[in-house]
Amino acid sequence: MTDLLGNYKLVLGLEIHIHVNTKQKMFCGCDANIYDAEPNTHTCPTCLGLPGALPVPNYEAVKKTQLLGLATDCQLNTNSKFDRKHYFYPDLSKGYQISQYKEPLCEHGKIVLSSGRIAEIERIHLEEDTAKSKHENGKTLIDFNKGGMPLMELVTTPCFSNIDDAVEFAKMVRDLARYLNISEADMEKGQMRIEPNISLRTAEMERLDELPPYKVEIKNINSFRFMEKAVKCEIVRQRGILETGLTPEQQNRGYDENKNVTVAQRSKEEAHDYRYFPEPDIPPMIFSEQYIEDIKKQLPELPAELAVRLATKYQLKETQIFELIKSENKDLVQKLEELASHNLDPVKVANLLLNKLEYRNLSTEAFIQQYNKDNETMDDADMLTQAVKKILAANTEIVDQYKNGKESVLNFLLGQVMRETKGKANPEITMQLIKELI
Amino acid sequence: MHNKNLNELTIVESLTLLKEGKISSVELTKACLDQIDKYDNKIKAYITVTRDLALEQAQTADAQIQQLGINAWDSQPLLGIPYSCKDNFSTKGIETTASSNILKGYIPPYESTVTQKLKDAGAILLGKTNMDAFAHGSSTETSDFFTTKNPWNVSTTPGGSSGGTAAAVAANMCIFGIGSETAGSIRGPAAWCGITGLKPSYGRVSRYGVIAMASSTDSPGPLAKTAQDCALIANIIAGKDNLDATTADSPVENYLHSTDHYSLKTLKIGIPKQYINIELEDGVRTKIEDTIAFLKDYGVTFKELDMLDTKYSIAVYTILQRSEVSSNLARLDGIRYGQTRDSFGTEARNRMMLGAYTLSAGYYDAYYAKAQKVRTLIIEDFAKAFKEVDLILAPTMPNLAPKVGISESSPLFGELADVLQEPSSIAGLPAVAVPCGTYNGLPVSIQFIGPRLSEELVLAAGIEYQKINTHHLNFPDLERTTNV
Amino acid sequence: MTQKQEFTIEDVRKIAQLSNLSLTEAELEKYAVMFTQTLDHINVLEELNTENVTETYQVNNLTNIFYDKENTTTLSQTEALANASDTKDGLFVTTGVFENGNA
Repeated sequence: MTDLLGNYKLVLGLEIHIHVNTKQKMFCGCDANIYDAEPNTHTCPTCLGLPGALPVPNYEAVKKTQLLGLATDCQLNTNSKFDRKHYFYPDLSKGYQISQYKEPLCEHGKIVLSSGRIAEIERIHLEEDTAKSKHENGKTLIDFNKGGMPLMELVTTPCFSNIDDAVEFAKMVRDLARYLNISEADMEKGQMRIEPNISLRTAEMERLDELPPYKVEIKNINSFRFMEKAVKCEIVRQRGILETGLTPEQQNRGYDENKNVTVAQRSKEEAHDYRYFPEPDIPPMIFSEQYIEDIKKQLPELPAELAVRLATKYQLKETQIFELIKSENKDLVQKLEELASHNLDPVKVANLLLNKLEYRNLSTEAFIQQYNKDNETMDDADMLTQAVKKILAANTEIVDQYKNGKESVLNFLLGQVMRETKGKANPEITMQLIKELI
Repeated sequence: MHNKNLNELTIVESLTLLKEGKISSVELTKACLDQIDKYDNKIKAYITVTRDLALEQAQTADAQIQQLGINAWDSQPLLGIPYSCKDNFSTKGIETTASSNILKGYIPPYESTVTQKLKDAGAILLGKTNMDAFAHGSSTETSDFFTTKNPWNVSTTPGGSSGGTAAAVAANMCIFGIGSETAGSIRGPAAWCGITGLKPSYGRVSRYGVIAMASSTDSPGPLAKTAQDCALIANIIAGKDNLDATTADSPVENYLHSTDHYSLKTLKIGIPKQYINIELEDGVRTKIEDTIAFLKDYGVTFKELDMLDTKYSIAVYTILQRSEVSSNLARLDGIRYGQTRDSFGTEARNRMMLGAYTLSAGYYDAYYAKAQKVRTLIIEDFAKAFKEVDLILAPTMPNLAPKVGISESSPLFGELADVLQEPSSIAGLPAVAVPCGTYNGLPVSIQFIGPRLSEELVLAAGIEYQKINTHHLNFPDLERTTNV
Repeated sequence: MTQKQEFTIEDVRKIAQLSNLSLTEAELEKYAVMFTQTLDHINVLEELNTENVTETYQVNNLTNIFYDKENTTTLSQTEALANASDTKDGLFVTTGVFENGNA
């Protein structure tokens, strides 16, 4: 990474768009399950932008955005509203997008990365998505099913100084969205898109906390791998320009995965004068203290909290915890807790649930039965004595080491007895016998 | 009632005769259609006449009346009554153009809430009426199609933007009409056409399906032959709509009983000196003074009010309306419907561009935001006034219906003409405009303006006023006025 | 207060572009005159002190209006496409991509 940057430092921020998994669209009653639908079969006067149609916001989308805000330590604004953002493009049916400008739903949050570094979230707001268009033979063909779908936009500050942190952050956001059940966030389906904004600065500027006078935004990246590659491309490109003494142009670029280059895009929104003004068709939102308290209660236990709990309450191993906090393993956690309440060893249970598929489908009683069978210990003193004697006889050099003062070999011998008895030997009794018979 | 042709009846009179079985809906509808055939080529109020559909609906109405008798009106209070509708209301399956070339041929696949409610109430649509294109005007001259003439004098304009509807009502080419007001577009044409118009409070009637002009002031409402008729229509069309997030959620009173609750003699009525001391055409001033004297005689208490200079309302309205217009017309790009943007008329372009400017970066604070601040001052100004008085009385228009061609006199013609209506529109207040006499053969009108959501109060004033005088019974002699 | 006193042709050209309208030179000139006239009427707001006044964007004092289950009714593909000038395989068709806001 440093060889790419040379003497420059990376200034990277992310804009992440996530489709909210509501039943209906953001401002109209159309069914939001548009994936694989025939074109233009999920439209209505409102999302099609017919004259006279009006928007009414979908509460489910608002709530889910606020949950993401809470989960990322954002403040939920008590006053929030929608604004119109104007530009002309075939995929924007009203000639403006209903978005949020000055009073977004959530602001000033953060996620702590594995390195301990903090990724700062500037805001999370809610808006409607544009339609899907494709270009063919000089024409543009448009499907308005996607138009009006609810979209959360999460914007970070330019806080990332290395790509890995940014990728980790994006993955954590994705996992959170799934964990909270607010989005499937499948990038291949287009349910999550990332737009990194990249610029470079000198070490001196970094020291003074000065931002570069430009930034380049890479539009519509739909995989973590491409994000990494696109950012690397940009670093190389920008560095090349900076080293000639020039400043890269502030612009939007697209990533061409076949050629592994970024390409300047024709500006979709002219002159960046969006002429924002408050959406007159939608009254503002006011969230009381009570409302915010209530919604906080609706937040499920977050992965970080769960990890702590699994460690302190059940003493699970790190590798087990890492797996169990994944959103797809929510039901395994539930099973684990249920079984642990029956006094089964949580570490053993976790192991079985994670590694042995056949255990996952067992009912609680069946699981306990099977578990007990597997963990039957050989307590019979005669059988154990026999095993111990066998092991001691087969390991005379080890026995001598013990006699010479090396106490640690006792564990080795115990292990051998365990192996001999296929794990069934009662460890305490066995250890006692070994000490006696040795 | 007995000397009237059927198309000259009011809603109340029509319902009486229908319920008594003395007339049928088909007869009533035919009478209106015949009137359209006879005079509309001179007046040109209608863009689309839905003749076959109307007669079909009238037949259905008559069949229901046959079957259910007087109970038919329990669930359909306007059963059998034909009306005309301004062409900015989306009528499913029927061309809706807002009198603009860019929407010529556009057939909405959905129905506006207002026309749906009227349909459910049994009313019969006669056709869609002419207007200033996209409602951008106060004379119906900026229709992209043709100019509607004032039935009182066809060399004058009927006012706008609901000029087609007003002319249709005044010429008895329908029993009642539906229009919309952003600032002056119901009251203005009602005034110049000598009929009654109700501009409901903003949010009292759903805007869903009404082609938007200024989203924060657009108010659909009725134009009819009497205030009583307006009350009847208001009963049907007012109310919260889940499809319009800006509709008020307070319950709708029964406006027909408004005079049970309010009486002019017990009300204190304010007259803002800023509305009287402007330049009023002689005829208007005379009639207004007569009206005030008449009402004083009747027992009404008046008080002079000192309110904000109307020039500020003109500025606020110009800015916020044009800004919102620029935004609301952005959806017309010719892809999903309509023609391309070069089909827009001059007035639409004029307003869109200035509106884009007042919202643009660097100017937003000085114009749009500033206008919305002054809006707060205007609202407070009215709140202060309504602490001292119950209603405000004023002339509706400062002049009589002007000659056709007048709108070209200024790029701000519309906004200047509606000076007496902009303040109340900006504040979202209700008002009723009623005829108070004629001068040189042209009607003069006064308006009662009330606090927000006081439709009952303003209608009561209008209804009682029409009980004690007969100005609203004057209709133009079309044989004479259209044969010049 | 950045109020404007006069509209030049360049000013009009810029807002025509923002509005996605194409005007001839003659029209640009005409509108420049019209808009300058309009300024006289709207600049009067400068006279009022609104320092401690908050904007009223909506007069109806409503807040928190959402829909929960029902809202608009979805159109069929045929209905959605019915008013389009050009369609293909259920898609709307328009020539070329909008470049810098011009259709």
